[in-house]
Amino acid sequence: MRNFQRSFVIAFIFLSFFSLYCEAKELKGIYLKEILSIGGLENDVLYMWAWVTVDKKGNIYVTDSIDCSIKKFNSEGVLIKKAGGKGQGPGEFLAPRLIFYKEGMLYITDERKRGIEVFDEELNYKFHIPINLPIFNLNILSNGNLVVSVFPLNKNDYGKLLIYDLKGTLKDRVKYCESSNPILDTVKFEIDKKFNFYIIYTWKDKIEKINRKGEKLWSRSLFGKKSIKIKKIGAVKVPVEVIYKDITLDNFGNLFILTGSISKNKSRDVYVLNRDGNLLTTFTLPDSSHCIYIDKNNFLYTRADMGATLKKFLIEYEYR
Amino acid sequence: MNKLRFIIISIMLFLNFSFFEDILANQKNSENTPQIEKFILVIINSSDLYCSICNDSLIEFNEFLLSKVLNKSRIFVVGILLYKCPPNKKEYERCEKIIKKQLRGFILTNNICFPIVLDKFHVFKEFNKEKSAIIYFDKLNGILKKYMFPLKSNQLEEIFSFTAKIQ
Repeated sequence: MRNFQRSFVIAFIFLSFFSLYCEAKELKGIYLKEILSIGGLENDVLYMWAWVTVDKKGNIYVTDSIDCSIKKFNSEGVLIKKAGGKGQGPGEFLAPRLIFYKEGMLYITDERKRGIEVFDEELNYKFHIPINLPIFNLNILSNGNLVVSVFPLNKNDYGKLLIYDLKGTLKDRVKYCESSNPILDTVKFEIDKKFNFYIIYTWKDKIEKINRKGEKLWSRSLFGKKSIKIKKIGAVKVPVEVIYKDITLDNFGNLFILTGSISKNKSRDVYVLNRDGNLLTTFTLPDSSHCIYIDKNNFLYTRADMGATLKKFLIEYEYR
Repeated sequence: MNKLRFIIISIMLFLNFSFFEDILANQKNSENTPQIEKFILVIINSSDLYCSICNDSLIEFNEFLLSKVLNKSRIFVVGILLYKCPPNKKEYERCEKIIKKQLRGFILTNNICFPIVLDKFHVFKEFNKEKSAIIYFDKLNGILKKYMFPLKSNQLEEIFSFTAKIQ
């Protein structure tokens, strides 16, 4: 036991120094080395996965939007269990989307059902968190509360991230912008260890860092785009060009931002920024994706074959 | 222009149905076997497979077929899946495999009770610009109608009333 503790402390010190070393050096490029592929064209393990999350042991959990299920794979990509299924009952789904792992629990949203379904890591259904708003993005704080970006139904919530407890009680709001149009101000976000929020706008060329109080720390645009392409559908004006699709943080605190239809390689180009918002490098995913995810061991997960395949990559950093 | 397109497609469908009917009539040409009297063609846009809101009508229609339609043996229902894939041969094959896989998953998950075939040769490509639809053809009663998705409840009722009129 003592040996284990000693090894753990040594590993921790080594990783801390390595992290500082990496930060001090200037990043020149990022390369991906594929180490695992789940699904594929010849089997029916994955039909069209929507979102992914990974636990500390490296088990992979996905939502599948065709068979309305959640699936658990081990770190070798073997399907361990499947749960959910189509329906409106507890633990069932109509269109499962986001999935987030935290402390042995899985938090799952459904595009067509309000609230969040909670399962344990063995995929046993546990409870429902009633949140009566469409949820775009989800994260769990260290105190167990949930942070969500939503499509707000009342003006008090425009331009704000909402913080709920596990009973679905609204505890707080974090303002990220002055908003008069909730569609245009749709955002996704990541949270760092210091409780800062990194916000990306789906329809605007805007990436921002705000602190817990909602104070803006910096704001960036990667494409210098000031206007948004709008299409009129009936009486409603809707944006048509996705600027930023998804954001994730690597273990060194760098931001990985997947860009949408605006970039040269649509839904494949990833921009890497440091925590001060400076662009470090870019790289291109082998296949188009709607999401990217980096786990606690710094492996990157992304989509291939229109969701029929999930790819896991080792991130290789090249420094100057 | 749309009307003209609809007329052309209707004629094409009529010919197709006659073709199906001939085949089926030949296959089941005995006095004890009921004859096919009505055809329902379900035109499905591949994007509807993974769009939960878009495929509501299709699933409702399937449930309606399963639960309400009597005399199933006298109604011929077939789904046609329309899809677009990149022209490059290798990419096309990959895309087609993905579509087939999604279709398998969709059929299993939603207990779809009628066969769905891929529109491999783009016979129905004109429909690709539009939403999914149901085309109802009743030779005996001289009915040929198109119902665009999303289906309204009165449209489902209408299809039900047509299918109930087995002579």
